[in-house]
Amino acid sequence: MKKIVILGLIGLVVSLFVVGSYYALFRYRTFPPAADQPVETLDVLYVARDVELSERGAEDPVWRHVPSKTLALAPQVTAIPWGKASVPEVTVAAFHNGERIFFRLQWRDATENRAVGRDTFTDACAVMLPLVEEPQPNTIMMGFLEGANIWTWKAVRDAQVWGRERAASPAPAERPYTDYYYPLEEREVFPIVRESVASAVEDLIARGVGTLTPRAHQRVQGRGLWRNGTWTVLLTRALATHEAEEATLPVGKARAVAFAVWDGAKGDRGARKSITGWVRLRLWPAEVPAGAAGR
Amino acid sequence: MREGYVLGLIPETWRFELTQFPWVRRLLKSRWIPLALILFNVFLFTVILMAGFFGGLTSPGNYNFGIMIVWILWWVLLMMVLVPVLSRFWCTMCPLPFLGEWLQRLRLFGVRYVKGRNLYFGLNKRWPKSLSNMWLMNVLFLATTFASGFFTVRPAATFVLLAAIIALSVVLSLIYRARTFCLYVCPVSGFQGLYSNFALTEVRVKDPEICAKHKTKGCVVGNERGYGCPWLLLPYAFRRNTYCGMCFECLKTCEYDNMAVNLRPPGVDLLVDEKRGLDEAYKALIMLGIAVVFFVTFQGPWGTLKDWANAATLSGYLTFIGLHASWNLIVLPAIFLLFVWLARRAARQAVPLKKVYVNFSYATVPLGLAAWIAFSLGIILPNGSYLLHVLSDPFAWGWDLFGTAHFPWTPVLTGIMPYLMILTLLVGLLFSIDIALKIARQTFTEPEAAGRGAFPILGFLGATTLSLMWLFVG
Repeated sequence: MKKIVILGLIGLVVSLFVVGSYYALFRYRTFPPAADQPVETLDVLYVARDVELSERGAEDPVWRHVPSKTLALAPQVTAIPWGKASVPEVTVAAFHNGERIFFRLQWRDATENRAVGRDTFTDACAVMLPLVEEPQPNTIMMGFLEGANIWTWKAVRDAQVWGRERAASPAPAERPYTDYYYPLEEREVFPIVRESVASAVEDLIARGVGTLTPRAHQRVQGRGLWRNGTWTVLLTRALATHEAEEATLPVGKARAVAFAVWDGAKGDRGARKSITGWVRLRLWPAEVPAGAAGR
Repeated sequence: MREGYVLGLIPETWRFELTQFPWVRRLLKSRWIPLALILFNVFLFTVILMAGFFGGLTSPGNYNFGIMIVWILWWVLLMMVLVPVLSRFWCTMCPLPFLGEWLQRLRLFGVRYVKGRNLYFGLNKRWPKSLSNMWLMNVLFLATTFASGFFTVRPAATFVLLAAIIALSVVLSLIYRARTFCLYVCPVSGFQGLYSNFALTEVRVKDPEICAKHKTKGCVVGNERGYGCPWLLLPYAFRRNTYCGMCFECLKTCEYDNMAVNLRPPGVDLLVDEKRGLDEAYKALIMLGIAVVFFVTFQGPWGTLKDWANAATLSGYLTFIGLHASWNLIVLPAIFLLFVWLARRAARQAVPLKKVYVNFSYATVPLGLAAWIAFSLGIILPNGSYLLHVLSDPFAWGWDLFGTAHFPWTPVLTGIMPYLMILTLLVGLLFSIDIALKIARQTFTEPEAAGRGAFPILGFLGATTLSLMWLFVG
């Protein structure tokens, strides 16, 4: 009798485990997570004008009239090499003119680093825009698994693009690329790894760590200016999107955005950077309700 | 280093009896301890299981109560506090074998004691002698880590793992004696046992003379106040923490109040040359190896490896399993074997290679524990703030129980995290060197041979520390 009871109990436990696991794995109902909403909101107002990618554009009066946010930066610590809290904060402002969006990022940096070499790294900044409207929150330890469109401005590219006249002919639509830095490139008769640089900003896509890939069509422009220990970087792209791997910027809606900054003099490169959390980017239509922006 | 002193500073024999305080002894002798702690954890793990069950396969890990509490809070507490300080105190309050033990005893609170012995429900069979070691736990723990890529991103995976452990513990409790499941099967038990040899606390006999004269041995066979050691040990003869589950039954059953809970210097049990074996040596190396694999997978910059661990493709997942198992079962033990062989050769003393291998493996325990603590820092400091969210909204149903459901992601001390990790590793290395030098003197009886033999092992420990530092901080 005792053995029968024990066998029955064992059968019950095993059955419960099998049925429970089956339901958890195959008949589950995933509840949408109540993700935390970004604390900061950056309002992007409609302003019927352009700014040029120049020193004058960086100091344009329009930047005094659009809302800006100073965002705290934290070292990136989810994938090695980790950041070292090199840059404490970045100030971001943005506006759109119905056709293009303009960002201005400013941060303190005692040195202007526009070259790369052995133990020499470039200053840089980036804007990350998830490819989905409602990005799933980060997943611990496995990294950001949603796709993202990342615009990365690098001072070294900036020097290549803005330090000389642009090539007369436009860049081909698709080019081979490499993320390998070849230190003896300058001594080669023919280019080995260097791509033709058309913009100071790389238009990238990523799906997680180690997946950064340039988009086939580079549509983001930018320029950085360093003065008195401060970088001012302007970034611009058309609002309209043409491809699935290009982040949408819907006017009249809000979407997530994040920013990153690299201080080359302090060894920042690759994953070693300072990042913000998610920020809500709210693009206002042409008519802004009185007193609505900036809340 | 002075002989008989930990790090040349604290006598290895130093003890501070915590149970000398009457209220501590009363507390530990009460049958409410550990029951109250277990019941609290039963409630907590019920919520965890529900969160895992409802979370399915796609909920993000940082917003799932089960994942956050188990893999962020519990794991970190285990590695950083419970094991190094309180030995196997987690086993004291572990809710996973609760159902099985309840069925065995048919009592939640009281003691079934009739005609001079404790009564148990179940078949009460003996566990096979060939499996009475850590090998099965080694294999099961390693196999569990094959699914590590799922645990932090798929709540259902955590549910299945915990449910499997609970089901297995109930089944084995109905077939085998006492805490056989905890002793020889539980995947978490093995490393807790080994690493608890480094812990700052212990349960030990106060006066061995009293036990020698005592005939009835309530701590072994039980009495009306408590059960005979559920971990099937002889409490009066404890010399190592490895298999003591700190259930405190021996404190309750001892007629002479001759059992004590002591504070002690860290690592002294690693020097006890008793029941050392290749199973424990492999456990030490597997733990060190898994720490490396986890770090490389979860915090490394290699997206491909994450995809493999996350089973994005079957071939990738099988590759991950193959590399993971090979590294832990073959490559790392083989590297250690090379250093051990060098140690034996340098010592120029005829000691069996297996004995040298097993003995020196215990010197890797402090460093392995330090590697896990460093890894844990990389988990808790960036991700800990998500705990506030899941406490308020455990099932992602939009609750806000404590007003913290919308607490933003807030990394803490991440700017100095790499330095904390280096410091942790260096402390671990220091203890490992201390243990290695002493084990060298145990293994090679001649002092000069011991000195020569220790060098290659110190080389292994130093190289491992440098590799971990390079891995952790680049």
